[in-house]
Amino acid sequence: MPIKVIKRKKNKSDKANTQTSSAMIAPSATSLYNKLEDNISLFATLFSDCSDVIFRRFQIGKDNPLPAAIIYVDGLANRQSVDLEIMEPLMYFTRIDQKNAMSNIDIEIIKQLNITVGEIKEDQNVMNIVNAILSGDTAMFIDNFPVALILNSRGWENRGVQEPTTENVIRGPKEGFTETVRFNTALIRRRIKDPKLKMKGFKLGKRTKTDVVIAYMDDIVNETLLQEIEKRLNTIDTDAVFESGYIEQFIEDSPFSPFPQMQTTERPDKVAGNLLEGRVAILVDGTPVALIAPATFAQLYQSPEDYYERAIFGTAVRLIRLMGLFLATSLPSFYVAVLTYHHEMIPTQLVLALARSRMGVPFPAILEALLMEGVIEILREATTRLPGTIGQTIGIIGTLVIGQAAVAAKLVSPAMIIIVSITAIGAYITPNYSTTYSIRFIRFPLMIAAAFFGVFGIAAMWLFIIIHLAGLESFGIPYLAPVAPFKLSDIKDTIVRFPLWAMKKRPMIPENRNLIRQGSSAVASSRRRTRW
Amino acid sequence: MVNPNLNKDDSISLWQLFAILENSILGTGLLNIAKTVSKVSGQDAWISTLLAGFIIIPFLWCYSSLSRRFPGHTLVDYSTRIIGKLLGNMVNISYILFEILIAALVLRIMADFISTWFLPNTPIESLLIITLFLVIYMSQGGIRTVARTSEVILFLVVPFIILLIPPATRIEINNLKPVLQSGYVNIIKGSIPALYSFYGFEVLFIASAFISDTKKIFRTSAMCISINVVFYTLVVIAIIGVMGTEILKYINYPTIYYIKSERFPFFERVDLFFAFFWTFNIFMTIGIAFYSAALSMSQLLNLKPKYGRNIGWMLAIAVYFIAKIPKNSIEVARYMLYISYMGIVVAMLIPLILAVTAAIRHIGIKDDDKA
Amino acid sequence: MKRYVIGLAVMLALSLTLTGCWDAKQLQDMYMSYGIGIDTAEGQSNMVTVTLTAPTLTEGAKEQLQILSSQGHSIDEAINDMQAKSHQIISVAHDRVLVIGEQAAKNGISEYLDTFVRNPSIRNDMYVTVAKGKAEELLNIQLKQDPFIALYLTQLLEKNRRLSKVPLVTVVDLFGKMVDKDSDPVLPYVEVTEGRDGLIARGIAVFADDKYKGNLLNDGAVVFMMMSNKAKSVNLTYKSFKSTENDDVYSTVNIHGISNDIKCRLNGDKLSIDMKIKGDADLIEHKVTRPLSESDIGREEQALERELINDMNDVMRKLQKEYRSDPLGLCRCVKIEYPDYYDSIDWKSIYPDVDVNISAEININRIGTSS
Repeated sequence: MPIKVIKRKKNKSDKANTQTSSAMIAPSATSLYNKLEDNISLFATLFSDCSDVIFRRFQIGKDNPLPAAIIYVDGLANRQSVDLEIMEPLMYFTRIDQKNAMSNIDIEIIKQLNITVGEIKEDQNVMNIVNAILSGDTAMFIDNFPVALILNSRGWENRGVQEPTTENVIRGPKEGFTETVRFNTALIRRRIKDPKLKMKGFKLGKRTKTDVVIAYMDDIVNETLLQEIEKRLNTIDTDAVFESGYIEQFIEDSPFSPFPQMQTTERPDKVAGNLLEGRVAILVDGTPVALIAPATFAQLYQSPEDYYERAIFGTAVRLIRLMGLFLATSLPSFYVAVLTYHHEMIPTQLVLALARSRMGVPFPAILEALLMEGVIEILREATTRLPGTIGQTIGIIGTLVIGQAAVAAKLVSPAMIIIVSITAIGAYITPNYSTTYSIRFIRFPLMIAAAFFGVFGIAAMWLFIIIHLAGLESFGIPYLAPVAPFKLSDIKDTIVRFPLWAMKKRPMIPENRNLIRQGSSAVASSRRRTRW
Repeated sequence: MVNPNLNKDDSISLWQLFAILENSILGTGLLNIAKTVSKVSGQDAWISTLLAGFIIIPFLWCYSSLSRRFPGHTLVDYSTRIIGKLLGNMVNISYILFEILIAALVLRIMADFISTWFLPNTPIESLLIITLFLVIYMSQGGIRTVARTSEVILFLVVPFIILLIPPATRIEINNLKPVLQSGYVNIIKGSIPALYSFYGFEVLFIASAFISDTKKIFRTSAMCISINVVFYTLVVIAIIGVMGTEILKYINYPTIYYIKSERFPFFERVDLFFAFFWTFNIFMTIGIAFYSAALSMSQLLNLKPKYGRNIGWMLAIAVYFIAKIPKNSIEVARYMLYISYMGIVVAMLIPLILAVTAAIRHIGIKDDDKA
Repeated sequence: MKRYVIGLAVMLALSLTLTGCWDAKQLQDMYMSYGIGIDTAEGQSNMVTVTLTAPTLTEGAKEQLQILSSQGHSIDEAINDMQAKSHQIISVAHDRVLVIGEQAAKNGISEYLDTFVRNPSIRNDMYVTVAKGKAEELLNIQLKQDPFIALYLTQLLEKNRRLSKVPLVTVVDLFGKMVDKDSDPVLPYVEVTEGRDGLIARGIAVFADDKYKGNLLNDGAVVFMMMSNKAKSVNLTYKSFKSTENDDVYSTVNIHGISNDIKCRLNGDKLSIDMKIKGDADLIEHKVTRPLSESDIGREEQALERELINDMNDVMRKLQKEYRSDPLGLCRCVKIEYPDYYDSIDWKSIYPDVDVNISAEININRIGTSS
């Protein structure tokens, strides 16, 4: 694995850039030779000791054969395509007129008459050819032509489209992104059959040369947002992009904020929905996780399923998630604060039960809370690494046994176990796995603040978080929008979800250019009129 | 005409202005208004409150007229242009001083309040320092952070005003009778402590510079003040109606006692619950006053934004030591009265003088130019 | 970003350097008193005996309750003294009930109340009651059903309040009445059963200023609650119209929607007060000798009103002549209606001789399922 150098300083990475590029094409010129043999030896030096690169010489035509060669990477190029669509027509079914075979043969004639591959490019630049070969294309050289034909033969072993592993829905499509960016763009294109859906391609990572696609709706997206994203993408100067997280970390606004400033998703339907709201999606080859920018806080607790289910339940579920969000972040800190500072806030009967359950527990409430929350985090981290079937068993046994034993051993009080369980489950109420990190780790500073200053500490820490969130922006969009700054028309798809026919306008927050989403739906309005 | 000290992107909406005003006004005033006012005008305290509120509204017109003459400019920018360098700077300094004093005093009241209700043994200094750090953190974010935080706090805290309603079912009308018995002089006198609860609107000197739609500033601010007038009046009526005026002389923070007097099912100590959430509002009062002072100060000293941000640290030290001056809550009450008098000059007379002078001398954009 | 890092570092540094926990108390270390009793110390009238009762935290301990008792010049001195007898931190934050001994009540209770109002950790629903005999004895009895006497007492008062047999007075209410010179407080009156294993909510203890004067028991208490507009629903048993001279027949009604309209009139120099009590009644028990007719209902109403008026006159006579106490706030009524006249008189001296005209109007609306 190459060493990942994350340096934001421009000058250093420039130096690295020149070094690497000089190392790569040291031996030869940048353009092709006339002779086939020269070309082959050029690439043979470039790909020396690369056992996966196949060089194949052959001859075009039967009577007056024309020497040619193809180069491809075994495994990346579809072998059937190479055999049947490139070599077979050239070698057996050549349609080149034998009379003028040798003298005035044209590369155009070969392209047009003899190759049955869909996508063909011509290229003379050695680096481009190398890149194409390494991406799975087949390069074909013909004697006496200083040009290479790049034949699209990409096709490698691939995980098929499967159900996304993290963002599950009960109702809604079960398709998830795969590791191939082409498939992913196809999944989006299948949902938005509109030429205004643009997919701009980039290559990022000097060595990995990862395909990155930014997708957006041309007539909806805000141009300045798009330019900003492109500008930031272009400033990325790194060796490797293995996952969309690499890009996220390079282009996000506040890298030290615990809150994600871009959404991550495995769901094409979610990407499509966001594109139609004027956001921009960034798809990265090699990972099923796409990025959506800009993100707001409200999106942390939204799921595509909210829109698939009926409006009142969509709203109810969102309120439940908000409550879960609140419990998961603040419940242990309130427990600590109330138990150590403000026991008068506990009802009379309960305080007796709590005090009795804490009799004999040696730790103060804060240590007890930190201990249990720490154990839960360890268990959680361990169970994600354990192989699937064992993971669940270990998880259940670990929690049950440890919880039971800890109470029996008077290490913690039973109430603490309840609190920890609620928070542990509550953290996963957000539909998006990446955001659970923010929720899980915010509660530790809150607990410590509560341990020092009781509810005042909680208030101060909340204020700190609120001020931080208020100052946070994602690609120029306020993170707390549409609550702060307040946009009444956007609230109907934030805390609550209005019926789809009531959301005639797109949300204003990613300031889009095309505000009207739909006319008043005929069905809905007639229904409203004939209610009696 | 663009002010170099203000970032062009930093503009706020009218709704955000409303949120800033509301947060700046709501704060410690609510906790003690019934006590301080009824001390002077007895059971007619609500009339004093009403009076104090409606005295303020005409002065809002002065702020709005100033901001229309000098769009995008704060007090420090235009005061010297209107009444000359010497007088203008005196006005600026007194404004900054007033905001610092408000921030310090409210900070002190908040610390006392938390110390009394939540953390009796915790040294007040640590509460002061923590709050001041948060205040600096917010003011460094600039007007956008201040405005957005105000909005969030408004949505977060205002729902808890509902807690004031259930005890109001026990209002005894006899406690509010006889009306006008305490005499007109006392009622007018009582409106001076009532004014304390409304201070915070002087942030218009600063906030209106960030508004692009200057015509609607008056409407927004007058609406905000009117809502507060009605709210405070209702609170005073409810508290006196439920508890009578006699007990108010003996207890501090009668609003908390008022909430405490009702027993809510399932919730123990709703008063503490309310106090917890009200802390946010008090904090915003301090934060906005502090931000106004810091911004004015950096403009007055003509600092570059880089240094202007750090002026907050200096001011924080000043605020900290001023907040420690009063010995106890009785002395705090005396300083509150001084602030009320000072506010009449700073928040009401100064804008009046500035607006009138500017109109006479035709400085700034004339009204008809705009049309 | 830089701002954020600085902010975070500052917060961290703060929480480490200021490492506080000044107020941290672990729950299991608390002596959570559920009830507090106050008596005048034996032989020393300026000393007070304070009794606290709290549940034992260790499960399976020999005693379910820990009762502490100590003497001091003030309540807090006594509680401090108690700390020497307890291994836990004594807290009065969970006190549900304040029991005042008869003798202490007679000597005046205002001096005891201050600490309960000044201390913000006192619950809002801490009830006050007067005990027959000594509070210490009441808190020391062994109940058969419930180990926690203070909770039992609270429940007892709350349940009896539903039928208006006792008033429910919290500390803040009582303090308000105490500082308000216009009306006198009343408290519930509780006594221990003869077997010393139970409690009885007897009725009302009447105070003049802060001194306990006497009781209104049984029907007197209920009628008083109706007169003071505090009763929501009462059950009253009275002599039916069917009674003959040598055979008393009793009926029971439930009266609800009760209102007492108090009006004062000044005829020249003669002050008189009219009281009219109104309510709707449900007949819940009526000895059947023949089916009820329409005119019977009217006669039943008359009998009920007659008895009610008798009882009320009785209560008024006791309040005016015997206890010289004005818990109904008649004084306030005069003050509002005739402020000039009120200034010219000494209310205390004329109160016992004020004419009080009592009338009643009760409608029997429902008679249940039999006639």
